[in-house]
Parts: sequence; structure tokens; C-alpha cells
Amino acid sequence: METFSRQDPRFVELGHKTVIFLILAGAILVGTVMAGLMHQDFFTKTTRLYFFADSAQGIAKGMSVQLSGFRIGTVDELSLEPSATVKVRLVINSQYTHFIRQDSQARLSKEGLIGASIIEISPGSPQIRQVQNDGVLKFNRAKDIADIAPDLAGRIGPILTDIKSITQSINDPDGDVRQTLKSIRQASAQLAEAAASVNKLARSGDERLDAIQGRVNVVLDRAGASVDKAGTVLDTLGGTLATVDRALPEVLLKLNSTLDNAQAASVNARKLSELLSEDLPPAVSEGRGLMQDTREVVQGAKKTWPIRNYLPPAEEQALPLDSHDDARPKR
Amino acid sequence: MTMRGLSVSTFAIVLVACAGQPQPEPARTQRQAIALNQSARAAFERGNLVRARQLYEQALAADASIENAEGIALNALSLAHVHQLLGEPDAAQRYLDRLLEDTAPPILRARKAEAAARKVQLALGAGDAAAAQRWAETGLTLCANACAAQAALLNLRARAALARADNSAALEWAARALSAATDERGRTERANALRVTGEARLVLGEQRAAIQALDQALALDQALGLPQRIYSDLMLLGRAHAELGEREAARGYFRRSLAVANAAKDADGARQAQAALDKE
Repeated sequence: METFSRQDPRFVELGHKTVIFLILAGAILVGTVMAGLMHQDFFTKTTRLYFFADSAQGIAKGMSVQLSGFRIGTVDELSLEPSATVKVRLVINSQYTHFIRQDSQARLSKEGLIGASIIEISPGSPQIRQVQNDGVLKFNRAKDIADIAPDLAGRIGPILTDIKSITQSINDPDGDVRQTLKSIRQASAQLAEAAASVNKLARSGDERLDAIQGRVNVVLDRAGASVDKAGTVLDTLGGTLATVDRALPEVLLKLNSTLDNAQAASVNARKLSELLSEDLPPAVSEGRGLMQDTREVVQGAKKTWPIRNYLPPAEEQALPLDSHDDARPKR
Repeated sequence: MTMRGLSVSTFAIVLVACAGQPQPEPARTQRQAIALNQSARAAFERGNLVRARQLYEQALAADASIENAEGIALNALSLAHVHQLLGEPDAAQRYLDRLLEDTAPPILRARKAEAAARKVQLALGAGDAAAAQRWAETGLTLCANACAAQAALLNLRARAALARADNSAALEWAARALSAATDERGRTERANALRVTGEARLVLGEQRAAIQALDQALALDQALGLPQRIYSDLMLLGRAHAELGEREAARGYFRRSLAVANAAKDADGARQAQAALDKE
């Protein structure tokens, strides 16, 4: 070694340099391992919780466990029990266990409808005691898209049927809608006819009253002269009244018929209204549910690769400030 | 263990330690606020101001429920602008006053500077040049030479000076705005600064210098595709040429202003352009 030191000054105190190098390398290695363990929550106090599921489908080791949208732990281990159920062990950061009550439920869910699977824990009732280490939670599975699709199809079917039956009812010449319109049209025509008859009768009455008045004048002028002529006038008056008597029942009959038609139209309108009141609210609520489901599907799709790469970043923005967006030049 | 094995193990450990978790998903209420804010922006861009107001109010309520100061500021600023465009200055003032007060959660100074800039616009709209100048100075103080609204605030300060007939100050502030708006995003404010310069030069009777600045503003506004600003530039250019006695050139600019206003369905602008044309 001394020979090397004499030949090359880099070999001077090579032993010390080697020791220092090894100490530094060891320190870096230990630091790196410690950083890794800290990053993996190795030093975080945790609580183990269990739940039992019928199947391990969709559940995997390392899966995120969330409470109210916050990640509070992970799935640590899955094992098959002798009863063929699956025992799932969760490791929860102990600072969050006070949110979890003995009636809290674990639920296999997705971030969005087709996003990553997560275990979501419901907070439970505040009056119930908090869960302890090695506690067991109830478990249920959320519907995924494969479960929802037949459900959606089942819900769309009745809506389409309702819409079809309403359309058919409107198009059917013997249906309630057409019959109602027909009755209303008839009622309008008959009302016009009745009004014309009443007018005609009134005109006729006026004319005859004028004639009567003229004749009465003549009779009065000739009152003392001829009783026979007075009889004729009375006969004429009788004839006029007879005309009124003959015309009046016909008008009354037409008015009755018109009222009957109007009543029928009202009944038909009420029937149609009842029909719509039964069919429309379910159709509207089903449609609303369908829109909600569609929105969830779209939201889920937005989170998947590569669609998310084409979407603008999810953040709030203010409308751009422009010093002249209120200005107009003076002239 | 050999050196090679040690190196590989160390590299693997470093990789494990560096492996980051995916970007955390925002909480549910914040996701709602983001969705509402984006829908409101879309409604605003469609020109449906009433719907935009409704959605910004909902986004603001969502952010307020989780004390998200930045979200509160962004939605309140947007609401103030929408109210301003709807001709509801009192409502706009209320939102801006709330931002400018010292409240919890604390609002960033840069956002307060933007709020002050909106206050300047409202004051100019109300014809209160003194208040406009005061708010522009408050905004510049809050901005401290380093916020996104700086160029806009300098231009607004120039407009406040112009409103007070202090034309030399207006030229000075517009020049500062021009040098502050250097990046690509500052093109709008560069055009605005040139327009203010043109207006001030016109008032000072320096029509040739005004035409030079307004030509540059027009070129920038045409590149940005802003019909309202193109209209303003053309009207000012027409006025400059009219004052020089170049009636044919002036009529040409007023005709172009009229065509732009008609195409942009700006009835008020078209009326002003027609009046100018009739006068020449």
C-alpha cells in the first residue's frame, strides 16, 4: 500500500477514505429506507378492521379505503374462510377511527361509475360507540355498470310504453283526445246554431210586436167601429203566440243538446286529465333518474384514460379581467 | 452482496421511496363547486348571463360551505362581473366589498387586487372618476408589482386619469401598462394601453400620434378577434381623421364601425356609428 502511496498521492490514507465512504453510503441507505417506510405510513399508528364478503370479486390488496371522500386506509389482506366467505382486513389510520362507529358499513364502490374501485366506509350513528381494533364491519356491494345496465333498460321500457300509449291515444280516431276535440267542435257548432235561432226568434218577435202595435193602433182608432176587426186582431195575436210556442221548444231542445255535448266534452277532458296525471309523474321521475344515471356514467368516463387527457384541468376559474370590458368610446 | 447487487437494491429502494401516490381527488363538495363553476363559465360564453349568475351563486355557496377561500374569491369576482354586465352595479359592489373586507377565510392579495380593478370599472361606469382613481391605486398597492392583474390595473389607472381630463397622466400610466403587458397573455392589455394612448393623444390635439397608436391597437384587436374593441378602434380612428379634416378617410372608418356593430348585433354601437357617419 505504501508503495502505491508513494507512486500515486490518491492512495494516501485510503483506509480512512474507505471508512468515511462506507459510513456515508450506509447513512444514505438508512435514510432512504426510513423515507420509504415513512412514505408507506410504516410509522403511522393504525387500526385493523375486518369485514366478510360473499366474494372477493372487485376487492384487491392495496385498494383505497375512504370515508366521506378522504383516503383513511387500505385493504391489507384477503383470505378465504372455511365457510367459503372472504375475510378482508383493512388497515385504518388511527386518527380517523373515531369517525367509524360500530354500526358503520363498508361498501365496495367506484370513484364515478366506471372509475377505480374503493372501499367506502359510512360514518355511522354518533350515539353508537366507536369501533375498536380488530372490529368487524357490515359489508355490502354497490351496483356497478353491469348491474345498472339491465336496471336502466328495465326503467326505460315502461317510459317508452307510456309514451307510445299516450301517442296512440292521441292518434286513435275513437280515442279520448280525438273524441273530446270532436265533442268540443260539435258543441261549438251547435252553440252557434242555437245563437242564430235565438236571434232569429228575437227578430221575428220584434217584427210581430211591431205589427201588433200597428194593428192595436188601428184597432184603437177603430175601436168603436168594429168589434169583428178586434176579433181579427186578437186572432192575429193568437197566431203570433202560437209561432212563439212552436219555435220555443225547438230552441230549448237545441240548447239541451248543446249542454249535453258540452258535458260530454268536459267528462272526456277529465278522463284525459286523469290518464295523464297517472302516466306523466312516473314518466317524469323515471326520466329524471335516467338523466342522473347518465350523468354518473359520463362523469365516470371523464375520469378514465385517455378521455381525461383531453379534458381541461378540474379547477375553478374567474372570468378573465380585461381593463376595457366595460368601455365604449365617446363621440 | 456484490457492488452491483448493492447498487441495484439501493436503486430499487430509492424508486420505492420516490413512488408517489396518484393526484388526490378533491372532496365531494369541492368537485361540485368546480363543476358548477365550469358550467357557469360555459353559460357566460354562450351569452346566457342569467343562467351564469345562477350557477356562479351555487358554486360560491358550495365553496363557502367548505371555507375554500380561493373558490370563494374566484366565484365572487365572476359574479361581480356578471352583475356588472346585467346592469346591476349594486349587487356587483356587494360581492366586491365582501372580498375586499378582512374576513375569514383570508382572501389572497392578488384576488383583492382583481376586486379593486372591478371596482374601478364600476366607478368609471358610474362617472365617478375620483373613486376610480382611488380604487386603481388601492389595486396597485395590493398587487405590489407582481400580480396577474397589474397591466389591467395600470390601464384602469390611465382610464381614471383620462376621465379626470388629466391627459398627460393618462399617457404616462398607459405607457407603464404597455411595458407591464409583455407576455403573450398580455396582448389584450397592450391593445388597451394603445387605445388609451390614442384617446389621450386625440384630446391633446395630436391626431397623427393618435392614429399611429390606434392603428397598432386595431391590428392587435383584429389578431385577438375582439369585435367590441375593433369597433372602438375604428370609431376613434374615424374621429382622428375627421379632426384632421380628412372626411373621406373618416367616413371609411365610420362605415367599417357600422358594419362591425351590425355584424356583432350591437344596436347601440350601430346607432353611434350611423350618427357619426351622418355628421361627416
